[in-house]
Amino acid sequence: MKFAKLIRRNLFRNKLRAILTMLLLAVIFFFVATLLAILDNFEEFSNSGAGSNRIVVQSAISLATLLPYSHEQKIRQLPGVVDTGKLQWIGAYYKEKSNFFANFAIDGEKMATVWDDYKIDPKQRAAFLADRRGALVAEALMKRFGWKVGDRITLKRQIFAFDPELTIRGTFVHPVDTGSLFFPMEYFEHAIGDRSEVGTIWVKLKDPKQMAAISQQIDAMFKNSDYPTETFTEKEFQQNFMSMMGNVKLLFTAVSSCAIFMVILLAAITMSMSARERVTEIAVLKAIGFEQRLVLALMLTEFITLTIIGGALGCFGAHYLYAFVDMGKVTQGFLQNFGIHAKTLLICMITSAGVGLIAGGLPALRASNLRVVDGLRRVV
Amino acid sequence: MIPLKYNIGNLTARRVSTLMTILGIGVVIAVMISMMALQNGVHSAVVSSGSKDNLMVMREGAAAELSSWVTKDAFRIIRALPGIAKDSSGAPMISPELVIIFKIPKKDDPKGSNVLMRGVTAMAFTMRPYVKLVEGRMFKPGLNEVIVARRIRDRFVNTAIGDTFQFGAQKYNVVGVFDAQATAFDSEMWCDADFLGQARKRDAYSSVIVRPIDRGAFESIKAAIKGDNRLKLDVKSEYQYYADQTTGLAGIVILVAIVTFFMTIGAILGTMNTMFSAIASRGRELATMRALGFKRRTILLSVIVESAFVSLLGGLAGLLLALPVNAISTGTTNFETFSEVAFNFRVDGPVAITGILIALIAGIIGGMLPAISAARMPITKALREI
Repeated sequence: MKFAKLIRRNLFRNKLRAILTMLLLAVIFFFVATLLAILDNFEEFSNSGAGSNRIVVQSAISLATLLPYSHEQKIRQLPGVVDTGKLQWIGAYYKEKSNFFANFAIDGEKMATVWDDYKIDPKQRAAFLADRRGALVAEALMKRFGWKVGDRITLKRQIFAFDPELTIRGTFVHPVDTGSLFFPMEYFEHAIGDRSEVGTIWVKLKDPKQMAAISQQIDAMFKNSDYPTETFTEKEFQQNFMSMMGNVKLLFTAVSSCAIFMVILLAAITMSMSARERVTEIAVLKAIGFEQRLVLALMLTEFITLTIIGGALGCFGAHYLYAFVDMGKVTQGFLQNFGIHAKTLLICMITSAGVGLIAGGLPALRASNLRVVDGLRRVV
Repeated sequence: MIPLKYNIGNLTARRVSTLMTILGIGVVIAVMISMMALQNGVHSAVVSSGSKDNLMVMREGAAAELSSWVTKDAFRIIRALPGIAKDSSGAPMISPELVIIFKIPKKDDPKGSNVLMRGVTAMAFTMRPYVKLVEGRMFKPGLNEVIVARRIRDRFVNTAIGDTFQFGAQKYNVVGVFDAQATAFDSEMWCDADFLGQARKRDAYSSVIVRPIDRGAFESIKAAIKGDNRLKLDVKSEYQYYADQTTGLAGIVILVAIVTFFMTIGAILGTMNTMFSAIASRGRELATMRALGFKRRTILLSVIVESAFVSLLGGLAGLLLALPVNAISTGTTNFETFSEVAFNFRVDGPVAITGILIALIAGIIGGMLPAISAARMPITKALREI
């Protein structure tokens, strides 16, 4: 610790250079932290169904193919099934196409049994069930559009040939789902002319351990029908959406690695510069008895401190910015619950220390290895 | 004006750090170019499809073909409209198409993606002459035969010639491979429209493509269809339809913008930093030049030129580094159509030039501050420095 002052003075011997390097690191680590946080965000979405003991039945043919209601009745009779409910993706938007959000037609009364993880005020639940054109909305979504309970809203069609006209009857809270709107299945059936077909059937099971077995049983049951099914756990179901995007993880990792590689190169230039400048000084230190290892340690500490400060500025800056700014709103619902986790911060801090070590390693080693006479003789 | 030779001499004197700067900026520009190439590839895979000469008829309010239907009665009404062009054999150029998506496992992802199956008649090929069979043979009308885009064949299992896949009770045999010159159709499979309708129990088409004789007919057919209350159909140019589809790919645009923004700042700070180092070590030299009579302005310009030169080299290095991504062929899902978009990364002229220009501009901006500080350096102080 007694060298803290020496390190500090050396760190800022060339203020401009130190600040520029820190700034460069801050920008890059802000960027890397953001990319990692987006990946985390996607991962959370994929894992959002992990704890539930629900499975999802959809058509094996494609997302756009619907399943007949008769499938649901057959599934409900299977042993181990608590209850089933129908859910239909509507894909409508509010006013502008960019106001895209998740909206579904749902078996309202099944929200108590199949979707029991949605917390709804009992009075609002009753009001929702009583209105064929009622809507139940996530609280965060209410905020995003500035809605109030009792508001009448009209959504614009995208997939089905009707514009849902709804009255908001209540809100819900759910640990992961903060962006959905539900309205009753009856409205959907009526609007498209009762076809008795639905996109997904959600099945609540008694025992989570039976998920795989019952899934296979359901798929086997409909394998040779006109409407073969594919049954997923809720987690797999969400992951399917993520995998549809393509290899985002590879892309982000590659971009982050390149950015860090660039930072290492540019930091190395400044560090070798700063090491070269003070060969005389180092020679003096060694002449008055500083050991080579100590000199090396001092310089490395200085370089690593520099990169850690820069990295911290970047990733903590991102952390506080995203905590402060509602990214759900900024990205039009693309990133919900967006924030930088402790794990990401830690990764960024370790990486920034690594940048200091790699970029500063060689210059520090060279400077500390210099023979005293050479160092003193050299004109910089 | 200080000769360029002086700058080059400086750069070669500090060989290692010059090379590292070039490489550093090169990596930044390479990432940027790759991201632009990605966007470019996706964009051209969607937008370059569809002709401005063709009209596309779909259900009112349908965002994509997948959620549209046009009844066979409506098709007959449209076919009878005046002003539709005729092909060489005298048949009206109107193509009814039925679109269904199938989930097919990928070679690298057994969960698979949704691939669009388009049921067509022979007219579809007449109206889109760039769709060409490259291997195998054409499907026969009424049979369960499909032809598959080359990009789909390369990335999905069981889609090569001779393969069979099954959905429900129906089997589909792959008999040919086609190429659609990097348009949206390169992410599709095509088969006979009547067969597909029977197989999937669909008694309507998804869309109808019409080629009007001329501009006037274009407008009159459009007005006739929109004005017919029995039809409840919407008309736009085929080109416009595909251009609208890019909203389903907004995520990529946002991503590219973020990457470009941060990488540009990185490049500016990077050049600034190295240029400061570069002039710091030759303060005496610059002061000597000033003492010899070179103006401040000349010194300023010289430093900026040097910085711009280094980052230009960096930009070129970046282009070289990014060129290999050109061959990468991959896919994503268009969330407007919920189906696969197969695309190649495309490093073309505009992308390459944009990348190099950004490097150059970053170099100039990054060189600005060091140049000012070099020009401002008091001669006496700099000369006294050891």
